[in-house]
Parts: sequence; structure tokens; C-alpha cells
Amino acid sequence: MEKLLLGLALIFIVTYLWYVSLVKKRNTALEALSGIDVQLAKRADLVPNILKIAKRFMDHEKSLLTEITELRTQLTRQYNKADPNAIKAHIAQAEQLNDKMGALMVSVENYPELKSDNTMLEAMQTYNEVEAHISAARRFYNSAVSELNTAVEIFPGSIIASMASIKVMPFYEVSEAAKAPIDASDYL
Amino acid sequence: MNIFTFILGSPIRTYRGHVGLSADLDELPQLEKYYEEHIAPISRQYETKRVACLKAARKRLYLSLMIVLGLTLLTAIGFYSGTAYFPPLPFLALIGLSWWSFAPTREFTHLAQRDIYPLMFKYFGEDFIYNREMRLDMNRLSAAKVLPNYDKASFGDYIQGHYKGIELTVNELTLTKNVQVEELDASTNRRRTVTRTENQFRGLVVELSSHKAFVGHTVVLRDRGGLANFLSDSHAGLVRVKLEDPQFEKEFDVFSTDQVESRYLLNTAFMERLLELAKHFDGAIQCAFFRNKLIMFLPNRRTNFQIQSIFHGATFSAEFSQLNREMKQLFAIIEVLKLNEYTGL
Repeated sequence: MEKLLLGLALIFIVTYLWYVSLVKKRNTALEALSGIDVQLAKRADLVPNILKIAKRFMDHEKSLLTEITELRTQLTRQYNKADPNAIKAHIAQAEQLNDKMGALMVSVENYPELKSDNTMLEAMQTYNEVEAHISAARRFYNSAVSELNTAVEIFPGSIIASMASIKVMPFYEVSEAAKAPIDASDYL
Repeated sequence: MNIFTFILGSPIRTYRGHVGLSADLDELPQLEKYYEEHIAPISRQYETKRVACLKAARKRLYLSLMIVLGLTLLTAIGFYSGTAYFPPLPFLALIGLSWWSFAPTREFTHLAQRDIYPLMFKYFGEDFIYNREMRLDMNRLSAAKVLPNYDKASFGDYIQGHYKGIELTVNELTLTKNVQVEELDASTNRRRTVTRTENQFRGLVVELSSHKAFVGHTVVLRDRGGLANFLSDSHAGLVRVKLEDPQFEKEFDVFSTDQVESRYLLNTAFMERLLELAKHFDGAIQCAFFRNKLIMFLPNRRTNFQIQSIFHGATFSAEFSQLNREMKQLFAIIEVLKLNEYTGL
């Protein structure tokens, strides 16, 4: 009887420690996600300024500027961090905005006055800096998610995770447009 | 001439021969031009001083030898006649008089080092300074959390200047620690505790400014091994950063107060460059991104900013060539890490 109690106590302790480690991993992933959100918020704050400068010169890119404004508005809305699908959608929007901003930066090349505008140059430099920070935050997030997902998917972590409602989280994947090789002739 | 021919009376002549500088072929003309304009005129004055110093040293040496011989003779007479004598006297006199004999050559070396080296350093930039008294702030180095525990720190050559817009500071550093060890006393055959001084770090500390301001504290240490990493995910209050590059992870362990910033600093390109740099330094480098500086610790690296031999002509060509080689290696750190470019670290 004593042995049985000891065995049960041991199982309880191991299960509890496993649960603690899963919660820690989920919290690290959420912390990393909030790190991304901080950087995305920085970019969202920067976008209206870039658009304001660009609008003065860009007559033929109105639809692109409107799309960017809409995407920015969507991206600054709250989302449910406990829902993997909501996170996935949020990340997808962030990447869409990234693609559109990339297209805008390419279009800037066609407007020599805008390209040489000091405020625009500064804004672009800051934008590139924020992009580098987003990239770093994405690496931290993916590393944390990788650890969490491995722990959640492997038995017996999968059972403990399902009991504690800890779900796998989506990776922050770069959009296909960003992965595509750059064609130098597009810029020449 | 060498020390033996000097003692045996080889003639001391002024050297006015060929100055052989060595450098990469594309750099040699520039090096020679600078040498001719700035160093050659002073080196001619120093050649006269060198000859005077050697003559003075030889006079003192011969006088000292006579005194030592005289004392040896007196000690021998004292021993055989049974009067008072002090056996170690000639030996002690030899040590003291040798020190006195070579004082002019030491003085020459110090003077040349004080006057010639700062001139040589100006070749790399007007703002370059060379000093043996200045030193890096030890509190900041310790706070960077890369150095081992130590009791005593001693500093050597100090160099400071700008290269491609990056502020570069280099300081030789030796850290020692007194450790107590048990050893067997052969005479009594008993174990006893003795205190020994062990080297904890000996090498160069290179401090580089950064175009980026960083708020966190990130350290890159040599790999601590799987067991150490399994037992602890932290280092001196910093949390482990697991990076994606398996090769980098194999060679280094990274700890930081800011997970995002550490990844921003150690982006894939920078990791590649650090690995490349590690190859040049046998993988022994460690570094810290701390208070807007990149501080690198290069163990077992010493600068060699010394006058090579007083018995050779005071052309300082070998010294200048050596200095150029040493400095190029330090500049290579900035180039390899691309710290001068505004494209992210």
C-alpha cells in the first residue's frame, strides 16, 4: 500500500513538473509573440508618416496606399492570443503589410523627388531598422514556439497539454513574396 | 653585433645602411613614404644616441667586471687567510653592477618606445595614441560578465584611435588569481597547503564602438559543454539565447538580458562573421555587447610593441613593419565584422 502511494506521489510530482515546464514554454512563446507585437506596433506607427510623405508625390499609387492603410488598421486591432488561428491570421496580416510596404519601397524608386526627400530617406532608414527588429523578434518567437510545440506534441506531454488546454502555436513564416529570389532587373 | 660580441669588445659603429621595411606589396610604397617623412629623420638622431648608450654601457660593464674580479679576489684571500669574509658578495655585486651597467641601454629603449611608437601609430590615423600608462576601465570589463574570477589585474600596451569611423581601443591584460593547492613536501613527506598564483586570462581586450545603440547586455562565450548547458540555462544573471545556426551553437553559448535584441545583434550574417573571426583566433574569442560597445577578449594574444634589439641599428624598420602587421590584424576584426557599415551589425 505504501509503495502504491509512493508510486502515485511520484507520478503526481512528475506530471506536475511536466505541466509547469509546458506552461513555462507557452508563456515564453507568448512573451515572444508580444515582442513581435511591440515591433509591429512600431512599424504601424511609422506607416502613416511614410504614407503622408509618399502621398505628396505618388499620383499613380493611390490604390496601393489605400491597401496599406487598411492593412495597418486591421493589424492594430486586438486579437485572441490564446487562439492559434487568430495568431496565424494576425501573422499573415503582418506579412501582407510587409509585402505591400516592400512594393511601396520599390515604387519610391520611380519618383526621383520622393527618393531624394530627406524626410522620406530618414523614414525608410527607420523602417529598415524596425524590419530588422521584427526579424529578430520573429526568430525568438519561432525558437520559443518550436520548444513549446515539441513538448506539446510528444507523449506524455500531449496528454498533459490537452488536459491543461495548452495548444501548439503557429510559426511565424515569411510570406512567399519575401522568400522569392530578387530579380535585379526589377530595380534597374 | 650581439651580447657576446658586445662584451668581447666588438667595435660599436653607427649604422647608416639599408632600411628594409616589409608589408604587402600594394601597401609598401605608402609605408616607405611615411617612414621617410616622419620616422627616418628621428631615427638618425636615435642612432647617435644608441651608439653613445652602447659605449657608456660597455664602459660601465668593464668597470663592473673589474670590481667583481677584485671582490672575488678579496673573498678568496679572506677565505684562505681565515679573516672575515662574505662568500655571496661577488655574486651580489655582479647582479647589482650588471643592472647598473645596462641602465643606459634600458633608458634608450624606454626613450625610443616613448618617442618613436606614438609617431609610428600616427601612420594609422592622426588620432591614434599609444601609451603604456593608460588602461581600460576594469569595472566596465568586469561588468561585461565575460572575465573569469581574478585577484589582480595588470595592463600592458594601450592603443586608441579610429578606423573607418569605429573607435578602437586595445589593451593588453593579464589576470591572476591566488589559489591554494595541496602538495607533498619531499623533505618531511607530509602534505601541506601552498598558495600559487595562476593565470586566469592573458591576452588582448579590444573595445569597439558601435553605430547602433543597444539597451540590453549580450555575451558570447565559448561553448560551455552539453552538461553545463543542461544543468544551467543562465550565466551571471543573463538568460540563454538559443540561436538557429548549429555551427555557431557548437562553438559558442550566448546569454542576454534581451532575447530580441540579442538576435538583432547576432543576426545570421554577424554569426557567420564571428565564426570566421574565431578561425583566426583558434576559436578562443569571447565577446560582450555592453553599454554601446562591442568588447572582445582574445586570450593568448599579445602585442609586440617593443624595440627589438639595441645591438641593431636604430632604423626602427623591423619595429614599424611588425607594428603594421599587428595593427592590420586588429583592423581585420572591424572589417570582418563589418562594424563600419550601416547595414545592421
